[in-house]
Amino acid sequence: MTEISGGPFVVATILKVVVFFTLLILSIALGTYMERRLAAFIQDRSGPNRVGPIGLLQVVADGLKNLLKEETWPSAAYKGFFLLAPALALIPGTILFAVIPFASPAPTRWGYVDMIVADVPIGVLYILAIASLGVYGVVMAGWSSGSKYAFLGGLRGSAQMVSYEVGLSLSLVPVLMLAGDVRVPEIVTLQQHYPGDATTLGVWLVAPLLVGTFLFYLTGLAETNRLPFDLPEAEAELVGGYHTEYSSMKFAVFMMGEYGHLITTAMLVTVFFFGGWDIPFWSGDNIRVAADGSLIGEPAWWKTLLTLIAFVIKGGLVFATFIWVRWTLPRFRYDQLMDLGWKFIIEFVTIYIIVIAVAIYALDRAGLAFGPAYAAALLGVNVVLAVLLFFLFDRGRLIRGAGREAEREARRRLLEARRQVRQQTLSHALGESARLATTADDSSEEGR
Amino acid sequence: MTRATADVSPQLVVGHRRDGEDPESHASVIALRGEFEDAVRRVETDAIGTAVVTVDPERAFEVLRYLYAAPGQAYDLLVDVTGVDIGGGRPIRVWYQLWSMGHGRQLRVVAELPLEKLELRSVTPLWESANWMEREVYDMFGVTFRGHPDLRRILMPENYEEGFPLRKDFPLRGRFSRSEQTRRALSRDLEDVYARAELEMAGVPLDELGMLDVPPDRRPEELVGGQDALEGKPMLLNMGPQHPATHGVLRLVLELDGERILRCTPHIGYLHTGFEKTCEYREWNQVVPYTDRMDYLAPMLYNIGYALAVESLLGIEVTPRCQVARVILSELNRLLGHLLWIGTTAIDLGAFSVFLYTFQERERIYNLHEAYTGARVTTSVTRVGGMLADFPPGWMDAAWDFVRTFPNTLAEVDRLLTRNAIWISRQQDIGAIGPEEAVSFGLTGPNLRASGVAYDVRKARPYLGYEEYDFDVPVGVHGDTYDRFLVRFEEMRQSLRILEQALDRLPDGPIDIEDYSVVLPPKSEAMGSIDSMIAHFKLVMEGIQVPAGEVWYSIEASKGELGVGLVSDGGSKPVRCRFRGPSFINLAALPFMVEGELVADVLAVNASLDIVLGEIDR
Repeated sequence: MTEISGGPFVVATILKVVVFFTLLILSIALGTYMERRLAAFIQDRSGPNRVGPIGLLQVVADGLKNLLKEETWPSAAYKGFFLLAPALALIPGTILFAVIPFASPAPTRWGYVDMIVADVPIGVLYILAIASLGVYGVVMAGWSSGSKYAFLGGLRGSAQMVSYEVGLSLSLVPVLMLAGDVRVPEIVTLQQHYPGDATTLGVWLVAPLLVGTFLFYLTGLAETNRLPFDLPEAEAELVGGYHTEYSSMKFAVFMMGEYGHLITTAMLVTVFFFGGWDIPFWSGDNIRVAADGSLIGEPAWWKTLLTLIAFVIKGGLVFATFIWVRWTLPRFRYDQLMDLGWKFIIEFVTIYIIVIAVAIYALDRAGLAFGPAYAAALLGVNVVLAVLLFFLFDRGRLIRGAGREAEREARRRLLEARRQVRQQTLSHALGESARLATTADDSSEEGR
Repeated sequence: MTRATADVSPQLVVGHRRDGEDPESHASVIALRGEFEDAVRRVETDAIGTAVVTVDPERAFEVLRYLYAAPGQAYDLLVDVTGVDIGGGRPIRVWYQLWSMGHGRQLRVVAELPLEKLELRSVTPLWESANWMEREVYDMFGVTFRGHPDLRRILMPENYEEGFPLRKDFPLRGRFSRSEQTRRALSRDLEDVYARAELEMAGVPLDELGMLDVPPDRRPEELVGGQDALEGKPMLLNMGPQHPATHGVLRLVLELDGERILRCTPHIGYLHTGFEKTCEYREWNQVVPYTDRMDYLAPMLYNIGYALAVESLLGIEVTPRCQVARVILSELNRLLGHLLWIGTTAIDLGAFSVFLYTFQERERIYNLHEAYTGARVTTSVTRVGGMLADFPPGWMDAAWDFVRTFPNTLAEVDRLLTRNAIWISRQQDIGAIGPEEAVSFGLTGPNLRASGVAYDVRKARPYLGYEEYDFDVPVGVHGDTYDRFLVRFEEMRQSLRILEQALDRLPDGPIDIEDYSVVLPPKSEAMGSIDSMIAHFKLVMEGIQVPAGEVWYSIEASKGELGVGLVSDGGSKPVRCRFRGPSFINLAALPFMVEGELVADVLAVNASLDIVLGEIDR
């Protein structure tokens, strides 16, 4: 079967854009609902359960409420940028969706349809490029609000997202080294099991790249400003952070942007490390595009549907772990976060890339063919690294922040200085009466 | 017994009813008699036997300095400074309540100030804690403290023009009419009210404003080189009074270099309702509801502290059942306070779920409150001489049920937080205060114990029979935020231990004393016997008559030492009703703890101090 082309291709693409954009917006809405329900479950309460069946229409009610709320314009705000910022926060998160394959190709009368909005040849690079645009919304909102809290939030946001961007990009390098391609569907294919095919690994990348998965997940959390990395908004410190001054729909758009980003991140984790739409232990979904554009495998509509369901379940589970983390952990402090990003994650990812590269080279030289055995060997390397990582990654070593020697020293000096000041005032007050020294001696005997 | 000097104007009689203790045998009194023969005007005891030394105001500083510095005295904790005005043009008395950790001694030094010369020398060089307390005395009584580093109004607005509210010549409703008050409040330019830090930053010459300047060497950041790295102006961040993490209407003005704090100036008084003034116009039992509203997070502790103070003035002791009941309620409320603290601390540091876990437990304690008093927060549980009622049937079982199941939640929270790497890194080494500083700042309660000073009123001066309970006082080592967390956490376990013992030993018998001049006789008796009926009538119409005298009684509240200072002239209303809220003094140490830290640490430290604005602003 060949790929759909010509007029039907245009129609199919437009249909895909419309349908899947709608689905994405819907999933953002459901994402907020899921977050609230799961948070409620974790916190031993009910959560929204009044509007509609099991509270599902709560999101509609929220949307309506936000539309009807008063629009506020802070007098100190720069109007244009203030309005632009929410849009800039929402767009990158949603257009990332374009390059993510979410199901196996579907057959039609005119040829097969790739279940991906745009299969651009630079898929992964596109993802990294667009993901880093997300920071503009935060910076612009923080700066244009004309509020100090928003400003601090914007500053933190820009610093944080720029720093973790590096770690995020680097943690994908091992994936690309294994895939040998930056097209996203190739990465899914790589994880499918084709017996006897030496171009695929046949194992989800989470196994051969265990540590890489962890790093990508971690930096992904930081990129999306989720707890424990939600410092740009840190409601306890900065009231609302960069969106302190926003209200009504403008605020809702920020929220949508955040969840859009989050859902996309969950999907990226799924695609890169959990096989994308691949259904495990079943070779029926082994459908891929050959080099000449023809389709290998037997596409079917029901298979497309099944793989879509598999994809949604996997993405949903990853999303659920985001929620789980958020409602369990406390928040980092800003400097600790930066330390973790610059002094640990970037170094460690670099080392990781080198180790994996050497391992791949060694395995290739050893003549081991791509396949489960190859993956198992890499897994061994990862386990060793993971042990090292979690040994190093413990408290007092990396997340120490306040415990750093230089800071300890500065703190000690400050305390010493204060003691001196106090001693000076005290001795000044005491020194006034020369009599005191003698009376003190007398009374000490008396006291005994 | 006393050797009052002749130049003193007519005084309110200080109680002498407890003859057991002779103040002249107090070691400090002997020493003062020897050292300051001419400065000591009178020596008396108050209702609980604390020696009260009235001294010449001119030499009060000298006396206090001696008491602070002489090794045989070593009164290192200045617990309270407050004023007492008894009206009629008589002098204003300024109380200095002292406690010596080393010698375990209590002493009250009183300076009598004639109205025409309301001036004292500030003792802030000796005790840092005097700073805010002297400001309060200045604010409420108009006593000027020479050499005070920052003598501004503290609870009332800085441009308050009606006078000094706690003076007897100040009418309860204020000097200005309601309309005038409203007019002034509305026409006031809010921007007029600046803190010194703000004015300094704006380059306003402080002399012109008549504000005393801080000598430059008192600013620690200049000693360590201060803001060296980058040139530029520090940023002023106004945190509060409406801020999600200031635990009430607290306003902190932060001077920031990046996110590092150069200076922190707390502003309080937004919730000031003049409880102490109002209490002077209420009968003794009518004061109880006001006490709820001070520490509304652990209301019964305030109820109990107040009742104990009045009972000590009356010279009565409550029934054994009432004592144990009060211990049960005290410890339940200690848990209530600590649970709120742990929940809000967790929220400030981003761990939201813990907040809901602890609030579930708080709700269960509130259920117990409700079952007993009918109210969940404003309990007003005590009456002078007893409680509002005996425990309702089944209440003890419910309390036992709580005590048995509560440790599960405690263990859960422990697992979530205590060894969490982020939690530790957010708290360890943050806001550290050493034992000497902690004592000097007058910290009490868990905040002081976290710095390694094992001072707990329940052990130091046991009340309600606390000496018969088996419990430990946990102390910290580093005095940082994390140690304060650990100390409070352990205190909850100790409270549970006390609760178990108290629930176990609650004796049968009446809960109220049977003195019908203090507690209402039961209705059946009031209707049946003429004596009881007269007693009932007099109590309802006139209230309890408390003999003239004064007392400063303190208990261990959940946040620290709660001192209740009462002065009675023999009537049915207090002449002075002082509440030494521990949070008020604990909060004064906040700038010391946070300067040099980051913005996020302000919240961690502020949360770890466990303040409640109701008791700070009163």
